Amino acid sequence: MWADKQRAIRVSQEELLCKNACGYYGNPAWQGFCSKCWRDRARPAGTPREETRPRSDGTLPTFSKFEEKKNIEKGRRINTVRRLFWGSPSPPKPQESSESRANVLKAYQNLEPGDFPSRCTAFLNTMEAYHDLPVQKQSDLVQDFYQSFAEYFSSFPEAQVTQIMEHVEKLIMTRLHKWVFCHDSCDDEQKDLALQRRIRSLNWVTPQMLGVPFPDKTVSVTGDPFLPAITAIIEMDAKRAPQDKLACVSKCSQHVFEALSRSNSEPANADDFLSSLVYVVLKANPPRLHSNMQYVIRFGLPHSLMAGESGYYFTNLSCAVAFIEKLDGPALNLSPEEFDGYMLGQRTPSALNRRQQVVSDTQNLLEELKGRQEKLDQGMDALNAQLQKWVQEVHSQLDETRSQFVLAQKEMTAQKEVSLSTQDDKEQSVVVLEDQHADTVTCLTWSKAMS
Amino acid sequence: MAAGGAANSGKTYSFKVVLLGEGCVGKTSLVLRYCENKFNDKHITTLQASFLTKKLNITGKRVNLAIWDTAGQERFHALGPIYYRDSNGAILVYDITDEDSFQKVKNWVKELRKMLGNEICLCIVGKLSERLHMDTNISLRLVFVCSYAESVGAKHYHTSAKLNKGIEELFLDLCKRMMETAQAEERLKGNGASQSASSRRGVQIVDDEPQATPAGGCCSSG
Repeated sequence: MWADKQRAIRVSQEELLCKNACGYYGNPAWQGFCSKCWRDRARPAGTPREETRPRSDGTLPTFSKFEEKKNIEKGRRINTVRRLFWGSPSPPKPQESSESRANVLKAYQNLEPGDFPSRCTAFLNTMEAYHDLPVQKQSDLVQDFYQSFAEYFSSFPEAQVTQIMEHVEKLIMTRLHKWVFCHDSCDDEQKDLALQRRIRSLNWVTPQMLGVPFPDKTVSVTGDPFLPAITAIIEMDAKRAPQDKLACVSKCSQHVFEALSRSNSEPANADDFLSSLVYVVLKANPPRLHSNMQYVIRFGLPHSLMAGESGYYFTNLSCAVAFIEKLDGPALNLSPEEFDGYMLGQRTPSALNRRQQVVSDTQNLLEELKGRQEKLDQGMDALNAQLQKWVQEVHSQLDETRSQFVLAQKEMTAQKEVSLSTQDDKEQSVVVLEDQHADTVTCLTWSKAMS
Repeated sequence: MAAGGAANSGKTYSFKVVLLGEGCVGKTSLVLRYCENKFNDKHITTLQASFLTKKLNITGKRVNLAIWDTAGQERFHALGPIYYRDSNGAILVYDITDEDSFQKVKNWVKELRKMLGNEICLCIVGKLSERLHMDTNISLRLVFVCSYAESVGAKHYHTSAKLNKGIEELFLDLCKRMMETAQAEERLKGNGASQSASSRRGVQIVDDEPQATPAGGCCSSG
């Protein structure tokens, strides 16, 4: 009785409480743990509960051994899948997300080969799950994907395959851009900044130093003839797919050739083109240039990068960047001392000199204009005075003539009066003569009509 | 390498040919003469002579030729490797009357052989000015240059762009040699038929296998 009681107490205290001593009651189905502690234990392994239950013998070492085995199995499965589909080494993977990745890969494996949209989606999901891999590995994955895709279409005509691959590249890389562009695992960002600083420190380089055929006379009229090219190369950073970035480089190159054709009647050769491209890059200082170029190299289609016109232009851009990075005095026909002077800003850059020249030219022009303006003003004043003088003259002449006229009028009236009085005298004499014969009435009316 | 791999038997061959030579030796007129059949003419259609293509049909096989002009000025010399990476052929141009330009060609040959081995087909082209007549002096020099070219596994030609002399032969010959090289490479690759992947990928597959096998062994034992 006592023993029974004692045993009953012992069972309730030691067996029923959670093994983890968290204060809650345990359960034999959970190996003596409470539900919370059991879940905590089960989660890191990532193993489904149904599989562990039959093997549950309650001891911890066995459990961890099982967990280890599961992981090894999974690792093997991933390796196999990867070997089958990409033929590339499996990346080192963190344990905690291995299960989700395995599932993603499994889904990818089960797809029909002809099921392109799902294949792409599955690949994208895989890539997003692996986004913390070193960027070189990601590049390999993408390039292998391109290759397996292209192999599937190997029976198609080449032009069609190229087109298909371009679409696939655009689709994939537009999605992956945010994950893999300027990746944390490489020092692209530092290199971007270094290149940007380098280009900025070379802001004194003139087209003449680079030997760019530059139309001097049109500069002040139409501005920089390379401006469209500069705009195009800056636009490169805004594009997402490698082929769009390449298209920007091609567009920039076309503009360079157009600008060159304006100053040179012959078709441009590589020397002219490359020096112009160096000038364009120096002027533009394109944002994140190094990252953009690395991105295109890593994730672009090898076909468009290695061959064809776009490949040629991209190669030239790489050359231009390499040239800028290694630029020194002799390459610009400067002595090392002159070059250092320019770089340290001690020397007045000739670009500044040129600008000063332009400024003084403009000032001279303004002075001249001012002088001419003054002359014009003087001329206007003179003309004004002349005009006023003329007006006055006219007025005075007018007055004179008027006064003369008045005088003349006076004279005329006087003369009239004189003539009238003489007439009166005559009439009066007539009247006197007639008075003797006729009455004086007719004589009065006559004189009235006269006045 | 990439171009050679893309050209399967019976399909189109795509070759990249780089054009090397000092700035003043007349690379531009040579390639324009070939691709546009024009020399110093007003009817030139292209804005540029730095990247030109030509389609050929040699013994029933289509060949796409991409000719890359390279910047030949001394200050751009260090950029050479960027240009001639993955090229199948190189045309090295010099002026017969200019000893310096030939010295440059020698340097390039050394560099190309060092970087690309024997996979690249070399052509050394002596440009003949149209005013110049063949005298014994020049003939002697040509004999010397020919023997040099043979010693480095290259072929020597002398052309005049104005007279359109020897240019067609030069390119045709170069194409044939590049096709032979590509076919030999294909045969070599053909032994491992399953390895259709490009060589770049191939190296990494080898890397993977020893990694995978121990994982499998471990699993079956446990």
